[in-house]
Amino acid sequence: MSKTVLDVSHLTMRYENQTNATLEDVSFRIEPGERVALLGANGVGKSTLFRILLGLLPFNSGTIKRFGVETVGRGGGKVLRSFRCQVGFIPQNHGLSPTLSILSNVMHGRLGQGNVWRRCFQSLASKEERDEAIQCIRQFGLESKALSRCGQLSGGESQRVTLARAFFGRPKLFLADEPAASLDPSIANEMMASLSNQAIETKATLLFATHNLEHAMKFSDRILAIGNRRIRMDAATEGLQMEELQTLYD
Amino acid sequence: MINTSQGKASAFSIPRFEKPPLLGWLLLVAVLTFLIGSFRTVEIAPERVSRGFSRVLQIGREMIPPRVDRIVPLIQQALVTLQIATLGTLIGIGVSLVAGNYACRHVSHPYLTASIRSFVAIVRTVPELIWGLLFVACFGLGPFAGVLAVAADTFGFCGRFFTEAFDDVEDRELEGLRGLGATPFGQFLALILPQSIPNLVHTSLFALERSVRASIVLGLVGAGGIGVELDVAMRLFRYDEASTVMLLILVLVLLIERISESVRRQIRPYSQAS
Repeated sequence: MSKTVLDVSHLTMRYENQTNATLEDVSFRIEPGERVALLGANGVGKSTLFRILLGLLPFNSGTIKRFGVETVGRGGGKVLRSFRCQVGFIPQNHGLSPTLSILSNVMHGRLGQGNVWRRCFQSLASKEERDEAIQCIRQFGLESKALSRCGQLSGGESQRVTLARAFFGRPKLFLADEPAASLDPSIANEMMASLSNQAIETKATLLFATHNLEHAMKFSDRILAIGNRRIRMDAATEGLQMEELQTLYD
Repeated sequence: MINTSQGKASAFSIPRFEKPPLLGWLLLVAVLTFLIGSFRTVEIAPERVSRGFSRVLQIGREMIPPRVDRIVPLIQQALVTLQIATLGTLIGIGVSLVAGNYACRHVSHPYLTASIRSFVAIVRTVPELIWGLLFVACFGLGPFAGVLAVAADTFGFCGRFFTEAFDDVEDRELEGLRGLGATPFGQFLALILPQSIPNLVHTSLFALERSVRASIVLGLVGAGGIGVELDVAMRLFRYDEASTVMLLILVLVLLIERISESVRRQIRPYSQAS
């Protein structure tokens, strides 16, 4: 039987310069293959939660089991890095290298999975990996620009490269922090559909933060909502009404 | 509406000159005493100035026309200077890149970062001439000592600016790669280094220009190159040959400046992109 992907128990996190906790007594489990939407108003701690799940931020109390393995707080060295290698992280700010080509940036999706030099620069990569990366770029309609520098791309194009990079890593878990935030409605829909389909096809788990309630309803099996520092809603998407979700933002 | 009368009143209320406190007067007296003392130490006297000026004219006349019978060995020595500068700069840049990786706050341990930065600061405080004297004493006269001196000087210079360029990358930008399991070296190679390249190229070109000038001066302490020829010509009062050397130095420095300006133009689009 597959291990629970994420098992968060009584997680509390307080930033050093703040008196109130950002997240308090947060508990949830995400099982393999689930598609989970994370909702919550701006500043409730969605990005903080993503960073904690990846081990990029320390937390004050509670436990997190990633693929059944517990690592406490920041660090955990190899264990944490091996978890991250199984994650397709799509950060809000893209985190692309502007002076490198789209192709090189997509190759970075496997940066933690072996030879660093070969995954840093597309010109040093093997033919198979290059072809695979180009295939990922093609999925997002950017193959004609594969050798263009990322610094020349629009916000929407950069977001597509970030998705292609995550796909290239063949992850078991997609962590997407507002993946459609900088896109126009039709492209946003397309991107979310790609992400969701990829997760279904590869049997990967998907956790995505969004403010778009339609996306949450359409592309998730379950909805988690954060409000007032705690988990305010944890329910199957089926059977939920849009009005119920809207109350989360009231 | 602006109240002009109020504006005038506040302008007039600013005191025009405030009498300095006693400590201020004492400081002023100390500075003046030091300056007067400096004039006396360097023995500035009108008769010396006029005598020196007539000597300048005499040397100037002896410098023209430049002597060209030794032009081939002099050009060879100019090339040696260029080789010392280029090789020394390349070694210095290489060491600075490695040190910069370990001194980068994003991917290195704070203690290691602090230690390397302190070491770079110490290297930077020593002028290239002192490095030259030190390496000539250790490795003997010749270009090898010059290369080492230029490398040390370049390391002190580039080491600092490379580290600053690496630090300019924002931590949030790196989280995307950290979240994908990239090692610290992977993050350095994939994002920090490429993003800093325009800055690194600018600094390296500037370092090369400095190194060419430095390697000329280093010749004066026996570290090889055209500086040695200039030293010998001046000591033997062969001013016509010295002027040839000076012209070659001028050509060399201008050439390097032109090349570096052209490279800067080439990388400008990359700087704008990043």
